[in-house]
Amino acid sequence: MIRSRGVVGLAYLIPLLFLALFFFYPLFSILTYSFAPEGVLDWSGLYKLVGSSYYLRTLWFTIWQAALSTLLTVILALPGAYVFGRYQFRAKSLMQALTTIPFVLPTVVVANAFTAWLGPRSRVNLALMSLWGLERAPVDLQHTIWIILLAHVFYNYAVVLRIVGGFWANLDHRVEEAARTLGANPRQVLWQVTLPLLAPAIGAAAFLVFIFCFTSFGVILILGGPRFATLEVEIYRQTVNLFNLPLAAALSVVQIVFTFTLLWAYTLLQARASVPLDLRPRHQTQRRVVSRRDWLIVGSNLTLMVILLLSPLLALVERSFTLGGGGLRYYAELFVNRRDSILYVPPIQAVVNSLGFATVTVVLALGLGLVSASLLAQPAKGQSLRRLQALLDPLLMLPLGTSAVTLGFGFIIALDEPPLNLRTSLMLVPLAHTLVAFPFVVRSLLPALRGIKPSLREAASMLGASPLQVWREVDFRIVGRALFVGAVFAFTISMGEFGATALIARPQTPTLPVAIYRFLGQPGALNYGQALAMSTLLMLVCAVGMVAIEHFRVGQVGEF
Amino acid sequence: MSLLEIRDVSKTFADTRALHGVSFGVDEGEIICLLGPSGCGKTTLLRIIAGLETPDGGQVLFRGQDLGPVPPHRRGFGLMFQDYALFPHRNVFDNVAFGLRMRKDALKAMDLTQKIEEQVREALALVGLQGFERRSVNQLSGGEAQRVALARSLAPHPSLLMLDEPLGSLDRALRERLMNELRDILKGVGVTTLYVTHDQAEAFAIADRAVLMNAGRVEQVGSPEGIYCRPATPFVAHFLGLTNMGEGKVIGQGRVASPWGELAAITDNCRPGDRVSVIIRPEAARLATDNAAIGRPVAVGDGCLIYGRLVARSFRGGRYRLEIQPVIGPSLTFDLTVVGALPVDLGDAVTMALDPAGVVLLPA
Repeated sequence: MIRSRGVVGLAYLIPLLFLALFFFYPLFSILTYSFAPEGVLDWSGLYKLVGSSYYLRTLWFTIWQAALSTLLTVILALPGAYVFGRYQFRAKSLMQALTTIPFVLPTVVVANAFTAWLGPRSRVNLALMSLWGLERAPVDLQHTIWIILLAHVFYNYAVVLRIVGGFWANLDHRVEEAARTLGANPRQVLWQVTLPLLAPAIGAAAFLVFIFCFTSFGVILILGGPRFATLEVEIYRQTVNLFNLPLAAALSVVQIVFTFTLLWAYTLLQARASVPLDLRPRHQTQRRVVSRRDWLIVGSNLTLMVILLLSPLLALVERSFTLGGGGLRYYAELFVNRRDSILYVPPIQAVVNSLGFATVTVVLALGLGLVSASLLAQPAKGQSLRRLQALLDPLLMLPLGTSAVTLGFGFIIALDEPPLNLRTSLMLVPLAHTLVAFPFVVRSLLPALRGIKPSLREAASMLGASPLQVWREVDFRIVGRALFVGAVFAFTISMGEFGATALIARPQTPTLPVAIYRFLGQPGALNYGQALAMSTLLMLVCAVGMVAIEHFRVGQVGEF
Repeated sequence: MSLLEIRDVSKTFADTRALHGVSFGVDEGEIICLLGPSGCGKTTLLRIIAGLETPDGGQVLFRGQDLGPVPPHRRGFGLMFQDYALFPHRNVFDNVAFGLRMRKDALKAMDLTQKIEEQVREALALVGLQGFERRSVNQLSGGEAQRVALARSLAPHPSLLMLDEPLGSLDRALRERLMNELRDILKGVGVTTLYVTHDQAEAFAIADRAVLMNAGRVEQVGSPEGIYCRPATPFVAHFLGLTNMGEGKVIGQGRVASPWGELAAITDNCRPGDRVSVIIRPEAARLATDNAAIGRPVAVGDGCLIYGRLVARSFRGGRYRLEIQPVIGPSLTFDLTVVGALPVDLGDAVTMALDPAGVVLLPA
C-alpha cells in the first residue's frame, strides 16, 4: 500500500514539475521584468487599469463575445456531434479530418480565407450583386461583431464535434431505449436522458471554446478591426505597438486571474457532474444511414459543415490558384530564393520542421496528459487527495488561459540563461506547444477515464493486478479512443500555433505558420500569393496528418 | 482452526454503521452464503475480505495471518462482481486469461503462453463455454457473461472465491438451473467460497452453511436445514418467510398458548411457563375439510385444528398459497401441495390440520 502511494505521489510530480519549469518560471520572469524593469516596482500599469473605464469595457466585451460565440458553436455543432456519434457512413473519417482543419489554421490565414469567401469582391458577393442587380456588396461583415462570431464558430466547431461526438459514440444506447419504453417521447429522451448523460462532455467542450474565445487574438485584431479589443488584443497592442510592458503585464495578470477562477469553478463542476457510465463499443451504438429521416439528418449536418467550414477554405485554395491570373505560379515561386537571403528556408523545410515539432509535441503531451488525467480520475478516498485533485485540475488548464504573447516573451527571457538555457535548443518550440496542447489531452481523456466503472478496476485488482498494472491494463486500454482524440488535438495545435512560436522559433527553423507570416509581412501580390499557396500547403499537411493518425490505430486500442 | 476468520469487524460509512462487530469462520472447501436483505452489510463485508475496503475495527485472518496490510492484488482471492465487470475491451479468452497473466511470475513455466492457454481452456470447459474464446464479451447473453465471469475468477485458482449476487440479474429459469450447476462446479473444484445473496432459495441450494445478516450484525450461522428448522430470532424467521408468528406461552408438555388458541407443539427445549414466539410453518398444514380430496385420512389430535375462512389464494404451479382468516387470531398463510384443482373456493369455511412438528417455538 505504502509503495503504491509513493508511486502516485511521484506521478503528481511529473505534471507539476513541467508546469513549474515551463509555465510558472517564464511567467514569473516576464511579470517581474514588466512590473520592475529597473529592479524597482512600477505599479503605474495597475493604477491606469483600475482608473480607466476603457479597460473595464474591454473586459466586458471579452466576456460577452466569448459567451455568445460558445453558445452559437455548441448549438450548431451538437447536431453534428450526434451524426458523428450515432451514424456510420462512408465519408465520415474524411469529414472528420476535414472539419478539424480550421482548428489548426493560423488566424492570418483564416482572416484571408474569410475575406476571400465573404469579402466585398468575393464570388458570393459578386454572384449576389449580378443576381439582384445591386451596386454594392449585399454581404458586408468586415469589421462587425458578426464576422467575429462566425470566425469563432468556424474555429471551434470541431472542438465540440470531436469531444461530444466521441463521447456520444460510446454512450450506451440501451439507456435511451429504456427511456423510450418508459413512455418518454423523443424530445423527453433528449432532455431527460441523453443531454444529462452528455453533460460532462458538452461542458468540457463548451468550456474549451469559451476559453479560446476569451483569449481570442488574431480573429479580433484582423477581422474585427480597431473597434474591437479583447484583453489579449490589448496585451498585444500594449506590448508590441506601445511597448508599455507594465500595463501589458497588468492586463496579463487580470486575464490569468479571471481564467483561473473560471477553470477552478468549472473543474469542480465537472468532477461532480460525471457519472460512471456503461460505455459500449461504437459498432453497437452506431447505425447506418437507411431511412429518409436518417438521410435528412446526416445530409443537413454535412451540408452545414461544408458551408460553414469548407467554403472559406475552398475560397482560399481557389484564390491561391487564381489570384492575378496565377495558376501554379505562387507554388513554383515557393521554391525560388529570390532574395538570396541567408534566412531563406524552402517551404518543404518548413513542412519538415512543423512535422518534427508536432511529433515531439504529441509524444510529450500524450505522456503528460495521460499521467495527469489518470491522477485526476482516481477515485479520491481521502480528503487531502481530493483537495490535491481540485487544485491540480485547474492548474493544468491555466496555460490555455494565458496570453500566448506573454508566454512567448517569458520563454525568451527566462529560458535563455543558466540554470535552464534552451535558447539554442530545438526543444523550445515543442515545449511551448506541449504547454498549450496537453490540457486538451487531459480534457479529452477525463470524461472517458471517469466513465470507467470502478468494478472494472477492482476486478483487475482482485485478479492480481498491481495499481500500476490496473492502470495499464484497464484505464489505458479503455481510453484508447479518447487518447486518439487527444493526439489529434496535440498534433493540430502544434501545427497551427503561431503566437508563441513567432517569438521563440529560431530564424533557421521556422514552422509553417511562421513562414506564412513572413510572406504576409512582405509587400506585393507575389508574396501574398505565396502566403496563400503556403496556407493551402499547411491545410494539406494537417489533413494528411489527421488521416494518418486516424488510421494509426493498433488492434484493440482505439476500438473504444 | 478456520481457513478464514472474521474477527469483530466493524465499518462505518459517513454516518451509517454498515457492520457491527461481525465474527465467524470459514473452513477449507466450504461454501458459505452471506444471506440477508439488501443493505444488511453483506457486500461491504465481502469487499473488506477482498481488501477493497478497510475495516474500522476488527481483523480478517487467513490461515491465521492478518490480512490488514495485504493489498487486494496480493491476497490471491477471486471476486465475481454483481455486474460481472467483464473487461469490455477484451474478448472472452483475454478476460479469463487476465488473472493468469497478472500472476505469471508465480507460474514459472517455460512455455507460459501454452500454459495460460491450457488453463483458460480448462476454466471455460468447467463452465461449459468451450469454443467461446474469440467472442467479444459485449455479445454474450446474461447467462454466458455470468459463466465467463465465473471462469475468470476461477482460472487463477484463488485460495478463496467470493461471489457477489452472481445470479442476481438472470431470469428465474436460468437461475434455478445455474444454482445447481454452480454448486457442482464449486464442489468439483473444491474451492472455499463465500457467496453473497439476498435470495434464500439460492443460498439454501448452494451453501454448506449460511450466515444470516441483518443491519450489520450476524443473526444466525448454521446449515440451511438448521436455520430453517430452528430460526434463532424472529428476524430470521420473518426473513425466511415464516410469517405465521405470534406471542405465546408454554403451558405444558407439548402444549402452547398462542394467538390462535391452544396448539400442540414440540416443547423439548422449553419449560412450562416460558414466554415464546410461536411460528406455524406454512407447509405444516393440510386441508381437513375434505379428507377424500387430499387422498388420505387426516388423523387429528387435540390442538391441531384451525378453523377459519379462505380469504385469498394464489396458484404457484403445483401448489397453492392460501390465506386463512381463523376464527380467532391473526390471518395465517399456508402452502399446500394439491393434485388437481383446489377443493375450496374463496369465502368457504375451511379447517386446517396442523402437524405439531411444524409449530416452532423460539424463546422470546
